Amino acid sequence: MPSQSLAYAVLFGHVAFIVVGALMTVLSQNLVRALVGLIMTLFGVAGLFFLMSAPFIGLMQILIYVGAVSILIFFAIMLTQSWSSGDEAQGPSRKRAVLASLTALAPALFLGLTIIFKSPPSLLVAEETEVSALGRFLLEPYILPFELISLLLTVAMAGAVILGFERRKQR
Amino acid sequence: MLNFTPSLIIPELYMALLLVALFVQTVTDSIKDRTDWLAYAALGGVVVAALSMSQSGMMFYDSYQIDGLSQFFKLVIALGLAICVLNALRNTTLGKTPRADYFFFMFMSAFGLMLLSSTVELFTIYISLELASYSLYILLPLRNENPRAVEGAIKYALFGAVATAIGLFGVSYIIAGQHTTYIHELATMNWSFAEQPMALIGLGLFALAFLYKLALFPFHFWAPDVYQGASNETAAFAATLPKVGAIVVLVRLMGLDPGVEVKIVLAVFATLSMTLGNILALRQTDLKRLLAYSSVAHAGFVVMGLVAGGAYGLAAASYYALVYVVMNLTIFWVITRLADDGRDIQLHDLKGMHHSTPLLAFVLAVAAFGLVGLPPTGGFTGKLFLLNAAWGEGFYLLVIIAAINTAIAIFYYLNMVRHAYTMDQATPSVVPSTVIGASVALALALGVLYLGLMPQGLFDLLLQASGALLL
Repeated sequence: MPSQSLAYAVLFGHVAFIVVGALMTVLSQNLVRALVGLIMTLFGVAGLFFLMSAPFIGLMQILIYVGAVSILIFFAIMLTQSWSSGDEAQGPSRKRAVLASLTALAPALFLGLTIIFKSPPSLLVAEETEVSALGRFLLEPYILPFELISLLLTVAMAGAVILGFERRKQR
Repeated sequence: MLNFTPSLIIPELYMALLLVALFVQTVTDSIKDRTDWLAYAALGGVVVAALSMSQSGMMFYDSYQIDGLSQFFKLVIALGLAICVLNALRNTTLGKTPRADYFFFMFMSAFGLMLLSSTVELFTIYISLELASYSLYILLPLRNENPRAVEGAIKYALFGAVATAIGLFGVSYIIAGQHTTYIHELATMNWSFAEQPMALIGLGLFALAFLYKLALFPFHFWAPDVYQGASNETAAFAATLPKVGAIVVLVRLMGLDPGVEVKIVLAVFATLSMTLGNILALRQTDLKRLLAYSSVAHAGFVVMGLVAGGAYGLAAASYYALVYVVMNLTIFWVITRLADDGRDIQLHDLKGMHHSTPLLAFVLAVAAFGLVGLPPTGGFTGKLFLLNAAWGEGFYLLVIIAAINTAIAIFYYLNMVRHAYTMDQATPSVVPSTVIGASVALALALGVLYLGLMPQGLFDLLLQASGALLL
């Protein structure tokens, strides 16, 4: 069926985009270039959400990760001024690289194989959820975690002030 | 239904009130360091928690449950917090960090743990855990610009973030398999590996986030650095209360009666955790580092109760959580009193304690006997319940290994007592003693003994509570 092979092409195009971006992030010597790789990966993941007919989540992914988090990381790189010198610029030893990739692959392989061979039937039927239904979902059955998140953000901000700002001021 | 009934959550509301007061203090310059009132407020929290022991009900669309188990654990948390506050009231290692800020994060962490003991919905559990641990991450590096404290805190925070991310990933597997995140609905589902492989793997991943907080092998590597790096007062908090929060969630998860595969994996981890923790503790000379490895061993014991499962096993694990908190707070109380300048206490610092501070030496001995598990202390009774539960369910090998490990543990715990009672220092050290320091130490020691001698009332309560969980 041509439409099915087209779907596969789109899917694996996204996967390739994500993997290339991830490799660029990990292997690049330059932190800014690594960040560009990360942005590429995040865009690819957003595309996957669109493919799974969850456009709202995909848009949020772009807004939050590509828009906000990446800019934040960029500022961090700029302020620490670690462009290409420093500990990060030296490549890891070969033994370490092999062990690290094995460690990363083992769970991915285990979990991936489970999904492929033991997936429940509902996994293959993508269903689009309206944003208004999503909002009602968050404010009715999940109101407690929704409200607790705001408390969590307050704690995180206050903690950042204590650890970063107030202690530096006193030196 | 939202079903908001304030009378059911008075301990939480009381804590929220204290948090608001503390927040006002942190932003008002003139009262930033006046925190003595917190001692009374925290003790009031214990009274409030004790008075609301018999409440029960559901709230927030059934995502928040008030039952026997949650009220018991709230009492344990309130009690532990009160002792930690008394312990840290004269904390000398804060540098220029205002005291109100320090206590704000300590209370916030305890508040998160209180929520954790009542929530019965996976996302709420996850957020409450993050609330408790974020506050802890901020608390840990506050020690006079000590680089070790920062190193320990960063290690704990980074690996903790990975562990909780894996837990969240596990939730997605549970949703894919079971289509709900509410524990009372999950309890009616099938959790065998043959029928629901994805859900069971998801449950394992979700439990991993809590096993990390419990410092069970192989997620134990942060414990020694965090304990040693953090100041004595903060370590007392970090060593006890977060583990209580982890235990209550694990008890609820094991109440789902998951497949035997999860139990076998946990049994293997418990065995390794006990053995490795005890063997590594044998050669430590820093007291907090030693206690860190001992806590790894204790995590193995608690998991033994979870592996056994059933009302008896879960009640035994809950009872051991209380015993563990009281024993550790006792020994940390002694450590904090000895280290009047906030230094790390080494084994040789204990020498000559029977001359300089006979009372603290006695309390140290009681705590050490409790940690070994010798009668008539709470450690003995708690371990007896755990071994009984595992034996009853047929985990004979686990019980034998646990018994051997108790024998190994005798060496390093009683080594502390040996240093305190049979050795003398060339220049006897002077330990300043206060009435409050001595009386709390004595009360804690009596608590360890009481839990050993009179366990039946509390244990019956826990049996009922965990029995209700399994219906």
